[in-house]
Amino acid sequence: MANKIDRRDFLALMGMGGAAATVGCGSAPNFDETWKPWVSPVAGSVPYVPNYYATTTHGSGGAGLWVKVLSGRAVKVEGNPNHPINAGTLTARQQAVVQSLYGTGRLREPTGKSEGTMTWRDLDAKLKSLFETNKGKNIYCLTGPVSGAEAEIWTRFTSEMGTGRHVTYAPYSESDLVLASEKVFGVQKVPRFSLAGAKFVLSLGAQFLETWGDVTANNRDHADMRTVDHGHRGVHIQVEARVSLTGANADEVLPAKPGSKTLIALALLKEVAAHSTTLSVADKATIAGLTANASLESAGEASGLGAEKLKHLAESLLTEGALVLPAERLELSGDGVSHHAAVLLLNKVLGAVGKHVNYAAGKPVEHTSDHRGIVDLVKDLNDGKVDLLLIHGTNPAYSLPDGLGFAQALAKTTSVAFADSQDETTALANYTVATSHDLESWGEVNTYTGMDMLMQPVMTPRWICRQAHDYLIEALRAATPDSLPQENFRDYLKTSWTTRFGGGADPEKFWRDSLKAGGQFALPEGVDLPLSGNMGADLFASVTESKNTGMTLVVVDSARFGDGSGTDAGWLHELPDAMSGVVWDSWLEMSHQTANDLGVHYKSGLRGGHTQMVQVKANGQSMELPAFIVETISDNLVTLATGQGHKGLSKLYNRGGNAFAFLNSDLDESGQFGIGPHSAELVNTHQDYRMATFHLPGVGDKMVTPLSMLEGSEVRRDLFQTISLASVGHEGGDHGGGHHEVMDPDSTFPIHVDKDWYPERTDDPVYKDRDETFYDDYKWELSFDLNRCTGCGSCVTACYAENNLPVVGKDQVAKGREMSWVRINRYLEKAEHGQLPKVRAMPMMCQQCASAPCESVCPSLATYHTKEGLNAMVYNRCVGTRYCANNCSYKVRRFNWFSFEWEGDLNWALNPAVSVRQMGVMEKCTFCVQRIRDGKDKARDLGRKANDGEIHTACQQACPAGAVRFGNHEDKNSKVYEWASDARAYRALDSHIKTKPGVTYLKRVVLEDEHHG
Amino acid sequence: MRDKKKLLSLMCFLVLIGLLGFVAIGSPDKVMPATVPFNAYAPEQPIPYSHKLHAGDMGIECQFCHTYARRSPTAGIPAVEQCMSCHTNILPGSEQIAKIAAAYEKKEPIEWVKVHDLPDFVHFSHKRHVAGGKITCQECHGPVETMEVVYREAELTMGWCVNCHQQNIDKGAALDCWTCHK
Repeated sequence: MANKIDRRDFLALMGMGGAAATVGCGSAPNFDETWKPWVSPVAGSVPYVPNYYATTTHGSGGAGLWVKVLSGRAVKVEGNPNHPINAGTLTARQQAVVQSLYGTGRLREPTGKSEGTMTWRDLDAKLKSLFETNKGKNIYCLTGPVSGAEAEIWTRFTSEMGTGRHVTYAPYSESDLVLASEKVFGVQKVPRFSLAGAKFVLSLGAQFLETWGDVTANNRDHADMRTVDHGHRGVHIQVEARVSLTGANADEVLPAKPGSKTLIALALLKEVAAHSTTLSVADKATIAGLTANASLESAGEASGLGAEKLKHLAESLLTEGALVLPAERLELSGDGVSHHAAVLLLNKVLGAVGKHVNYAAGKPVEHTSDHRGIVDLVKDLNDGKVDLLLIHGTNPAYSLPDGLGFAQALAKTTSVAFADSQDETTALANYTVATSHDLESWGEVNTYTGMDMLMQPVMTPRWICRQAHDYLIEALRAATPDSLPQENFRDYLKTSWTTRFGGGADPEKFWRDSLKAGGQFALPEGVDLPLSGNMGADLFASVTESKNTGMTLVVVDSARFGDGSGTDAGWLHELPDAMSGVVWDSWLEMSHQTANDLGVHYKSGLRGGHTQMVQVKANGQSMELPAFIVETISDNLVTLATGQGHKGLSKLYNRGGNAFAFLNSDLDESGQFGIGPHSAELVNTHQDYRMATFHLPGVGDKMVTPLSMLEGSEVRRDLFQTISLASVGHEGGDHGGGHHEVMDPDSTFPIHVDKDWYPERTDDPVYKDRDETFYDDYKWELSFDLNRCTGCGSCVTACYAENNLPVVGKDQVAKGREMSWVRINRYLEKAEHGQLPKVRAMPMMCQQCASAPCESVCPSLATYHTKEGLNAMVYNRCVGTRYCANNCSYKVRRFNWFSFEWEGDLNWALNPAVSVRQMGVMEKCTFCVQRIRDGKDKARDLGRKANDGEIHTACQQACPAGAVRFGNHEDKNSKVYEWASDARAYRALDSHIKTKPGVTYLKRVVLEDEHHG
Repeated sequence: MRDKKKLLSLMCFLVLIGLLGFVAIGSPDKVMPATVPFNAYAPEQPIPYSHKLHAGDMGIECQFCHTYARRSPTAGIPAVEQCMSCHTNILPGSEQIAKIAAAYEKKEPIEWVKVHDLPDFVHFSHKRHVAGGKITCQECHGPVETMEVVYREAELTMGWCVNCHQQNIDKGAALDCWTCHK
């Protein structure tokens, strides 16, 4: 332009021009997404409306599962509420099965060692030729413990196809308990131990809240036992030198030296039998004879507990409702049979047989396995006696002792492994046949007498494959036509099931009903049994004091990893170990003293730290592990957890040390490999190693605040509160507000002042000029009974599954960037002299504060308070300032530092009702708002409001201890209101900062007053 | 404006911007039938299914094909089998019907392009809106029974949804963010 344009005109032009250009953009953008409907609609399947199928898996130990299936894909594994043992709840390990279903370790095609990837046609031809060539010769089958129709088909195959054997193998065997039961009661069964109705539980080491027995039922029964009734509650004593999660929930932990458990059991047996008023004269004499060499003094000395303590224990045992549980068999090397026999006798004397030790429901010996089979198989392999070996449902290459030489023996035959995921054994086999996962297969898992669980496919298999049993049937039909009327395992199972249980007039209907129910559940009641009369005078002759006086290594059973199966799951690795808080690694747990002696120094970071690798030599094996210092272990003891140290899974999960390396390679009396305790030699390699751990050792653990470590002015954290048994019912005045003690004026926290920064929301109008007020229809609240909660972390995994939480990996957890919406806060009470500190665990999640510190600081109003009492988070408004997380007093807000990817097919398990969050967005617990929305939707269909008990949060549903209640606090008859108005209820930190949380915690009931005030 | 020259340059500039705006919005790739308003979103579908013929002239109910509307968040698009239930015998030889028959034979679904689509972070439940029959399909989807080619009449912006919710609070429409933002 010839003339200069002035500034104002320029701006006017730009403004009008911009307006003109945007005039057409008044509608939403177009995504051009496609929708592919079915070719043929699936009857009963409605998009976005889930179906639930009852099933079970081998890995879960026959737990009742209800698998949520959306449009033909298994999305979440939940518990079957009708199952008598897990009753709708699940442990973290049981929930993680869906991750191995979709994981990167899934096998898709058959492979051959020399052929590489094969086509299915080639594999079928190969199998056909193998079966034809070896028909009549030694065809062996190696499987996990099987029962019902599964056992039938393997046995039939082995006996009809050749002269080989069907061998079962599992890393953990209960043969010691079977042999002990046979000796003591003349019954060859594994009894069902149940805590239901017990009043005094003495566990000699069994981690019954994590790994031992029916963990879900034990949690529930243990929590019921702790419920205060007329000023009394049950008591639990744990005998162990390293505090496990079970010990953390006990009233007392007695740190007995490893290797002394059987001596303790015998001393107690002698004492209680002598003072029993119910035992027959004959039985008294028998037991006195068997325990002649035992004494409280020698046991007291061997264990380090002292005779006085043991005498006191014996007296407590003689009260009503006592139950004794054995030690973990991982620390009973060689002593398994005597130990279990002693415990069975103790229970007999205490009258617990029938009530808590149930043989009528016992596991028949056929449903168990010992290790004799695998030892004989290895011998046969080495002798060249095995022409063909089929392997299914077991991973011996991982869990057998090196000394047995399984890998070398296996090479001497032709082996075919049937597996759904890669592992150490499939890596060795000549041929690996990809099969369907347990969730995609037919099967049967029978555990106790009367418990027969049906396994059914909940979806079409992800990869084109069959299950192992189908190949067996095909081979049998090819070998002998007309021998088998059924063509596949489903039909075989159906026939077997309806034959065994009787179909009645309509077997088809019976079959369908059985599938719908999940099986047949009919646990018989227990009855008292007489002593067998042939225990033999030398039953306990071999029990001696442990010769080990120095450092000892004990292998402990891991709640997350168990025997190492199904551990290709990110959820399990990211769930912190309950006691140490370690994620994604193995560690050697030791005390401060041991660490000092070794020169190990742990340098703490935010969520992790640096330690040194320590070499541990025990039982002829050596391993390097990162040292981890805890306060909850005796000196002279180091422990290693099972289940890690894989080498054959998909890469990410091959980490840590394999505790099975320390197995003895010879069998004990009952036919199993023992594992320890072993005397150990420790050497500090001084090699640096970075650990990621959830708890801040030494600082974040403490119940006293770090800011007031001054002598004499220890301010207790209010987060976890306890109440003594004597005070329950006499609290008076302490209603839901927490501590009212006057605190030290020099400390950081102000004296409790009634300063309310925000008015009450009730009757507060939601919007100006409208009728709606807050909490009109609902005020959602959660309540946790800390007296029931054990800190197992099942709720954490349930939340991961329900809310599409990403697994961030070790490096990010070490930076404090874990994404768990609910976490377990673990605190340590100050230890009294000579004792191990008490451990407290509480779940912490967004408290949905009515006066939330986070809501007022969001610059984009991405978070606000809903009229139903929830702190809402709108992801697409969030710009990522992180001011809200900064302000949160409970530190429960999680920030997405990255956009996370789901590896393999794991995105198939995402919940479509919950957004998948992107980088830059804040997230936190929503009280499962998608379930609330769904519950209200269903109630609206029926023309009413949602009733109490219709909406469960994921954490509530999964909790085995039943420690969680959720519901509408406005409904005075609701379960959550009952707990929230309990005298034991308090709201976390509410008395200090007045955030008015929507979560109540009920104080844990402890036996004595542990702190004053 | 100071002088005529400036005014003239300004007018030219505005016209230019306006034209650019139209160009930016874009011209349709193909000529749309008269039933599609100018510039409405009417993506090309793999098979030119005419709602005007089926729902309009033949009077087939919406929920006969979009059967999940009353029981699911999504209304759904009918399975290939549903098309074949009539078209096995009706016009089986026609070029377009042959495509459907071929898809059914090969067990391949037909990839329809979604005309009404919401972002992944939005929860919209057809069931909640359709139940009780208080809101007709046409209120949001427009006169589908007159559409040869389906176009999107509704804005589907958040403001458009919230507007109706604000006017219907007494009928139970929720205004809470977490009703729709999941």
